[in-house]
Amino acid sequence: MSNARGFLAFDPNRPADGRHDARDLSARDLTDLRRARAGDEQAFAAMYRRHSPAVFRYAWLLTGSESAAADVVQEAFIGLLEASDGFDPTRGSLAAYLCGIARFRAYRAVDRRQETVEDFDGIEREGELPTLPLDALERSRALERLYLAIRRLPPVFREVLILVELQELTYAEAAAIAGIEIGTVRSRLSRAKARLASMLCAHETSR
Amino acid sequence: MNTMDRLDEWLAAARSDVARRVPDPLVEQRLLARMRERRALESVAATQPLGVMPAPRRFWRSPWFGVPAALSSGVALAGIALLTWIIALPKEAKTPVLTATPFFALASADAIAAERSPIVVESALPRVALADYGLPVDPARADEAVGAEFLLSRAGVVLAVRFKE
Repeated sequence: MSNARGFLAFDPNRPADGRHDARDLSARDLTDLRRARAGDEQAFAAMYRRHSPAVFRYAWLLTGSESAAADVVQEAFIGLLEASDGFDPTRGSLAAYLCGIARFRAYRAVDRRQETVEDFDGIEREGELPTLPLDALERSRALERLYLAIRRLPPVFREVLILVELQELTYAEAAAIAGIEIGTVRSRLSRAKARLASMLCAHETSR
Repeated sequence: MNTMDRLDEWLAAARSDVARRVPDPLVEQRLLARMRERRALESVAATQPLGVMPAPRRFWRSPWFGVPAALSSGVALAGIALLTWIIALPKEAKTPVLTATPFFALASADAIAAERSPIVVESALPRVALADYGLPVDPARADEAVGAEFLLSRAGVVLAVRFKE
């Protein structure tokens, strides 16, 4: 898969040809943020609609709960709006910053629910992963199993898998959000996919 | 096709599925309501300094700390007498009591504790703002305003809010 699109993949104002100048987007973010902090609701709404879907999806994938993800989105934007979370545009894009905040708050929400994450270190792959069912209902169930398996990955593997494979971020963007080196993103992603395959194979074999 | 290729197929399907998920529109509405609330508060703080009431000083910082004990005792006795008189009043003669919610923290506990002389600013907010704090909103009165008291630091930072009927 290609990760070249990065966060621009979530921009509803993205041109049809798929190309977009990241500096233009960043400048638009900064302008909208400044105006929103001064009370301009339209600027806030534009910025919110540009970035909230990606933040929501990331939080949903981490928490597994739509209401918890909505809370995470709300808290992230309140922090941004009220300048209480210290966004520094010289250290990265607004999108990466928001996902970083969402990551922190989503983990806190998961901690609050005291979710237990099983350790799948000992699981070996058994059999082959089947192709995705074509039937809509069966396909939907298969995806639910996939999401459950992703949420059961150890957090360090889970987040790179979500950022790179499901959020379509570049390795560099994922590294910035997770606070790790690009090489670490690569190795964790590889291990995450291997574990995910093992978990899904084990599940499919036992059915 | 091997397992890892099939996993890529599963993940591609998940990407399409995840891309359809968006936050509830109410989240945006709540955030816009909060913006309006802040703006109203800032305008009140900027234009109505007469509405500002200093919060009670802590007694050990009061310039009156150390006055003769007799004066304190006198005030205390007067207070007790007043209280006794109020309790003795018939119920129907009592002044209606304002109901107020507890203060909701809008800043960190550290920031609130660090503020030595906060100020209270009285204002009014749309009643729907109560929902943001988990308080019930009567739909029939949703258009009405509700009294609000904001606790501000001397630097103008909002520390807490409570609502009054």
